Amino acid sequence: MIDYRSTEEKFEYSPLMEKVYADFLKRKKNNRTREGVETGNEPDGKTPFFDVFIECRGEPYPIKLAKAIVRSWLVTEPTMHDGEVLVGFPRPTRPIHEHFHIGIVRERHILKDPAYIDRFDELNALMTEMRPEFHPAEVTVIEGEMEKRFGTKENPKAYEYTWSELWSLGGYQGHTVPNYDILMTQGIGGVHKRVLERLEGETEEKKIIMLNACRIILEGLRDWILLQAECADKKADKESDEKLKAQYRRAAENCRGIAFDAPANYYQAAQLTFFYNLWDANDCTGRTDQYLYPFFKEAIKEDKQFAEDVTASLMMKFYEHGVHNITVGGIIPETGEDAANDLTFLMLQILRRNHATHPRMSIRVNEKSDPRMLALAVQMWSEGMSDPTVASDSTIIPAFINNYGVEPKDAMNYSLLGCQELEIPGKSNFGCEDGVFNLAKVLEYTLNDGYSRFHPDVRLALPTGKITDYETFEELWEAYDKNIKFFTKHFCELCDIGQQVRAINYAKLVKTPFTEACIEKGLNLDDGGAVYNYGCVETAGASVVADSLTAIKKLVFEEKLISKETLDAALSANFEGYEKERQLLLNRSPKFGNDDPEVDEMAHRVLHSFWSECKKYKSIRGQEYSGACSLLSGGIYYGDHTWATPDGRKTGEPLGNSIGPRPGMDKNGVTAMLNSVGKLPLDLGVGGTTCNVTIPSNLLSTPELRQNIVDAFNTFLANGGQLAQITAANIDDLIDAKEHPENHPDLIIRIGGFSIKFVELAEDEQDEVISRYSA
Amino acid sequence: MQGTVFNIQRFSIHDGPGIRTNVFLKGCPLNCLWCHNPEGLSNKPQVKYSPLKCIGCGDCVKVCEPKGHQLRDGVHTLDFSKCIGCLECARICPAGAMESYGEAKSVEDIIAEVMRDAAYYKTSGGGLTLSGGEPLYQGEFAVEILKAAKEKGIHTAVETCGMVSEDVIRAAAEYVDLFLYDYKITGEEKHKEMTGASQKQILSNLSMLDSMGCEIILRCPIIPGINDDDNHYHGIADIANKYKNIKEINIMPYHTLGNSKREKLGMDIKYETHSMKMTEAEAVRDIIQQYTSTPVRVS
Repeated sequence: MIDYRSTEEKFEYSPLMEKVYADFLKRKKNNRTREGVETGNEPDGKTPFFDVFIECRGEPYPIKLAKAIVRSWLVTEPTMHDGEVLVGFPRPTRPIHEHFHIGIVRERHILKDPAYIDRFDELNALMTEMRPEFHPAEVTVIEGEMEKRFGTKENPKAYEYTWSELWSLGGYQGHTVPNYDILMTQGIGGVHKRVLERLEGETEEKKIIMLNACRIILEGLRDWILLQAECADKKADKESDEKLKAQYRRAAENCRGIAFDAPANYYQAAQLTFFYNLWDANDCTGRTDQYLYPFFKEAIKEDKQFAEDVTASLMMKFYEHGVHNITVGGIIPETGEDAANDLTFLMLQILRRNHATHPRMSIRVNEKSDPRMLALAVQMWSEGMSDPTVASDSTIIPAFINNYGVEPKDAMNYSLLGCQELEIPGKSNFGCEDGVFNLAKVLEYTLNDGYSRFHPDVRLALPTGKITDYETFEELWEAYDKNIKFFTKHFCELCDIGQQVRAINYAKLVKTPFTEACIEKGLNLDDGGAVYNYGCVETAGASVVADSLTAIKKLVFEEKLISKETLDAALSANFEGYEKERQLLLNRSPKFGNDDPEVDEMAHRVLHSFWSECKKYKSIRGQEYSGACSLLSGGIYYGDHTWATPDGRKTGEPLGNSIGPRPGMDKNGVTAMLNSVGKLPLDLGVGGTTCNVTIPSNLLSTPELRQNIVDAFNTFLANGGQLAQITAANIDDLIDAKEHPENHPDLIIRIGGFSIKFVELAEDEQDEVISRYSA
Repeated sequence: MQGTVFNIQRFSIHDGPGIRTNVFLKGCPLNCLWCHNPEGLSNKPQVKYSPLKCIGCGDCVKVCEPKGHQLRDGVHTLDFSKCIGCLECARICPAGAMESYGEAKSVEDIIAEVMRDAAYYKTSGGGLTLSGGEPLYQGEFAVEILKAAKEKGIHTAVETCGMVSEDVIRAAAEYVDLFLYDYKITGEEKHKEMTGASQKQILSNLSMLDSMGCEIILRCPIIPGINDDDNHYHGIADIANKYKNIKEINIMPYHTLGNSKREKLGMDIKYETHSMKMTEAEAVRDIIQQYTSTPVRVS
């Protein structure tokens, strides 16, 4: 490929990589895996993770955990596939679970694995023993606390109603972007040295233990990399083709070079990036086009073909292991200039060539961005892809600086992570995500004297009255706001308990040494070790609440088209027998997403009241909770558990998807929808707020039309928009794909933060996507 | 100043450069058999009835003085011949089954709505497109809208059939950056038969706009069985070759949506044929392109 920035030209693999890729696709087809990603199983009958806990019974929990993680990796037999340039396959299952979840004690389901079945009782007993000694760290701690707060004499388990309807909390995924800059400049050995130095003179036992656990991880990583080198050597020994033999030998040398030392060239840098990423459970890799570029720049001058092969190989490895989110573009913090470079475009071009759902990629756009970057994104959408997501520097950077006290240079370095969350890479633990909160349920309580309409037996919210008791709209608003304050307090305090549990579980031992300040503080990443420690609260139901409050204000209080009594009866009956009222609520009151000043202001008020309340609470990691709104299928889940609402929505229908309108409610075109979203207080939503946009594929069919889409998103991003992700699809294709999935195996759409094959969605999710498109 | 508008459509990207807002004015001097916007034909307010949306509440029956709406056994019927265009039923209908076409709107209201997307026009070089109906049929009103849009500094386009007085089109031209000018039929007699009017005024206005130096895109609806013939394709090319300011020819392939709208508006269907496939339209484009160097595109 001559010009990586061209939309006309397409990237082509070298013959060698073409074959490697074809082999990979064949393997991929035969594997049943998480998100279609291949994970290696532990060797049959072996239980390395458990074995360590038995062997090291007397040692502190974090030490046992670190050793167990290392053992799992070391006993996993490495494989090098034919023709590969980069090494690293497969990954063992157990450390990944440890990494993403609350700790090994929650993973009892693994005992059902046939490999463990004959040792079930023994291992089950061991799992109980494996809890950290100094705290009974189970999710039941949160549940116990909730029972105290929301249980009644008659129904001590009443808190379960909030759990299923109002929120989920304390069980986060744990995505963060480690500091790849440190990895590139210091290598594993450099960080290891800092850990040893830090240990000297440290007297606090807890910190000594934590630092030693990091040391064990780093040494284990080194030993494991040397095993990968051996694997490449063996491959070379067996190879008869001289060219390939040399290639494998070079790969082995490459691994040895970075087992402890910082990388000296692009090949080493890419391999080390991937090795560490594999240990990091293939979590997000942050601004990959930035920290690899100094190496790439030199490599491309020396041997363009090899530099491309290495990049292609890295992207293929990322695909194979389902890497979550790579951020490219943006600005260079030191100079403020456009950060997009040749590697930015090459990575996008390879993703385009693969037409793949992984790695997911995001581009950071600002007024200095090379216009060809967004043009390439639109080109990729027009070809049926949903990546990349677009993110606005001009909205996000000032929000970090002004509202969350982030240093300007760090704010300029932000990256996406998880599905669509935001953070300062290598320096933060944004608690992605601390919890999810359903605003529509709070409105349901407020209109029904504190009761969920599903559970008339227990009052969960404040006894503020029913809809029939409020004399004015402002009285209703005050009652709603009072409930928001009431539940936000409980929510943040309960999330804290969840975080305490995680901190005690030391579940971030691989990330910790590569997150700035953790070593210096001697604290685990989940224990407040990072520089920035904000919380992140995913928010559901904002558009439904805004639409509902506007409808009540307008049709009940102002125009008196519907009486309060009738509305109460209609809601109670889920509109059975009240179709006329439902139609009035649907059609006679404006809906969020149409650039209507009245309802958009209400949406602003709704989000501001909740997010500014969240900001009053600090997580135990040390900093405030921030708002976020990038729900996967959460809008469907919480919709299922939210009663009929005064916007005309029936019980069980989906809430809005992410920050956008309720499906099908935006009828005024893309620009009106984007304008509505741009008016929201997204500066309080630095957790990440995604606007899902579906574009009919016929609007992307010519270069002129595509330029209009480029212009539309540039305008959105420059005028208060934060994140947008796109599904370009033909409605007929979607409907047909639901009927005949066999004909549309490759139809990619966006839902929440995921690009996914449409045919893999559940039926109600497919319907939601179709209704979104039909608007 | 007020006029009759039947739709304002944002994020229109097929009617002029960049991202645009289309404002549809009511009333048209022609009566083309295939008209795709029949709600724009009459200059009087009208209602559209979508039976699938009706919930049979009967509210429309109560407000309809001429008794056009009836409800029998929960089933609603509408006799369009009794409609006086008061729009009361559309105002009262909770379900959106009755919709009104033809609201009185002021120039200020229209411009305020159009300027909501000002930021997008600035990035994309877009703006306002007046359409219809025939937008210049409400001549003075149309000119006022265009003038106000130019004062806001946005790009303006007018989609016109050309069947208006010379004075009006000359006055409009002062505030118009681009004319999307229809050329429907080749031959005076056939034109009369298919559109209900002579072609003379249309052709002389086109000649005038060209001599004034106005930028023009020639828009040619292709209707199977009416004008999908070589004589017309030559006619299109001849026009484009004759006028130097026609920078492009757009082929507008016929679709049947106009007829389904006619049903909902209580209007008789005058001509039926199939929707043109994209491949058919592209074939027409290629034929015309042989006769002229002006670029021909399917729109």
